[in-house]
Amino acid sequence: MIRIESLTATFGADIPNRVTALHDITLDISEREFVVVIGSNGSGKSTLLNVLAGTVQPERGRVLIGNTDATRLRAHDRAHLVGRVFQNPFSGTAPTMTVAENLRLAELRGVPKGLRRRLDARRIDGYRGHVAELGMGLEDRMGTPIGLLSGGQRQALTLLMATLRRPEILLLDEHTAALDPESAEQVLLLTDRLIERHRLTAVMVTHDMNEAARFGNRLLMMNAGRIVLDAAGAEKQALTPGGLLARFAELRAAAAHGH
Amino acid sequence: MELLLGALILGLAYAPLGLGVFITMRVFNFPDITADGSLTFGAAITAALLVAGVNPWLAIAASVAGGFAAGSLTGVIHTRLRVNGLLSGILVMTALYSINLRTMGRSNVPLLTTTTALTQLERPLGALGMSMPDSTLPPLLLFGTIALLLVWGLAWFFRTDFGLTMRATGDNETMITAQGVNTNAMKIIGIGLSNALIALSGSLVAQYQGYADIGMGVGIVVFGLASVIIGDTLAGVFGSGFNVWTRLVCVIAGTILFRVIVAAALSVGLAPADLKIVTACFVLVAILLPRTRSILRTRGT
Ligand SMILES: Nc1ncnc2c1ncn2[C@@H]1O[C@H](COP(=O)(O)OP(=O)(O)OP(=O)(O)O)[C@@H](O)[C@H]1O
Ligand SMILES: [Mg+2]
Repeated sequence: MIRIESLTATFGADIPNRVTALHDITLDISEREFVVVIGSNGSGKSTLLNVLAGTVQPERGRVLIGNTDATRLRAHDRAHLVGRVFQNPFSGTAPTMTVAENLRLAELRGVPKGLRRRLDARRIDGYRGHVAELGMGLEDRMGTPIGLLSGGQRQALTLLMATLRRPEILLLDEHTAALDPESAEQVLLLTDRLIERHRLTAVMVTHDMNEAARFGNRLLMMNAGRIVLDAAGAEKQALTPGGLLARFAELRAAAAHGH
Repeated sequence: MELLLGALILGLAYAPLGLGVFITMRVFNFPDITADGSLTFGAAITAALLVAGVNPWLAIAASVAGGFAAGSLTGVIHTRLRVNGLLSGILVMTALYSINLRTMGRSNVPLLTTTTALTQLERPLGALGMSMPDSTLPPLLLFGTIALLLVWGLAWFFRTDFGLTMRATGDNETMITAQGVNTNAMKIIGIGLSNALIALSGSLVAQYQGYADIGMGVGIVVFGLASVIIGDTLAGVFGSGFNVWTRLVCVIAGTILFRVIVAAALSVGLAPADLKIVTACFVLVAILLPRTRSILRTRGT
């Protein structure tokens, strides 16, 4: 379970044109919820995920992940709770290291890494099974430096890495935006499958209204640092891409009116 | 032959330097100038302790510890105090100049009459009936053994979970932070390890040459880098750019080859005074070469 309590996040607090990226947000995400987040550019989606991951420190408010008060935990101190996939396929993997070595580090997410050689043939075989399930034919390339793989292959592996050790929450920030349509679809289906299989709690940011309507069991729409729509259950299932676009148009009209 | 043997010994003495520079430049992609000071620091500690009659092996250990301290100080200034990486190294290097002078008490300490690790080896080797002219056997054996042990140890280290973490820190900080690693701590340890190796070279070279000198570290990063670049080229020839073992062995081969080239150049008339500018140009060209090649290729198509 995730709880965000009256959270405010500000950038450039010490300069005149400070930006309040999150305005007093309160949000509860229950176990096994798959939350899709949409919103225009600069509405605070990434900041919300970064606050959960610990790479952005909130100015006010609390963040609880599972039974842990994570508000003051730095990103690397809460990594055992959080799995992440980034928008940029280069961000999630160590390029000069092999597929197996990357997976080994992911298996050790949030636990101390000792002076022992543990990456043996038996363990690599174990990883191979998981990699085969991605359906990308990467199981024969465990010794390949990951930087030689395509963006889609890397994103799929990053997804596997983020879930290899079960996270309390999986954070996906437009993780298919940099991929070609075919790879994007493949990675999305994989995302859905892994979340289902491991019964994960997940938050996924997307710009694609079709994706937002198709995936997840709860939808948040953000605008100017606030959550302006929160739909779950049947209400979420009833959302259509067209309907979501209409909501965006409404918001834009209201904003224009306000000025 | 004599020339080659001398170059081989000096190359092996500088092998830890090559490995140290490999760690900062290739693993962390961090240009660490601390090396100029920490090589001399290693020599200074050894010289001071040997003159005071301390056991040479203890003196070597003290040099290694001193190098680690210097390197991790650079790491702390860079990561915790958020000072630019180059500047952090320059600050520690400059501070070390004073510390080195204080440690040695003057700018040059001769070690010709003191007991060193090499003179200690001479007797047991002689008793075994092993000797070579000009007492080249002890340094050859000692430095060779150290180089082998280091390559073996580092190849093992970089495959442990901790070693994988260190490589990933240099490779992609975002990724390894997401795996729960404090990258600041990893950098401090890594730069410390690098300078521990570099100080070891300083200790070995001082004992081999028979003196420690305040200026012996000047430009040593570039010498180390030249060795690493030659090593990379060799690794490229063997076509296994990512295999840790091959890369480390190639770094050692690179330091030896670099010393052979230097010895050859000096013997055909290169003035010792010009050695540093020639090396600097070599490194510059080696860095630019792949770039110009790819520019030419893109223009061609
Ligand atoms: N590191 C930063 N420094 C200063 N301002 C920032 C920083 N990160 C985000 N902001 C500002 O905070 C606001 C919210 O940004 P955020 O990245 O969360 O938006 P987003 O909803 O993810 O947008 P996008 O759809 O473009 O990714 C924006 O106004 C942005 O300019
Ligand atoms: Mg964003």
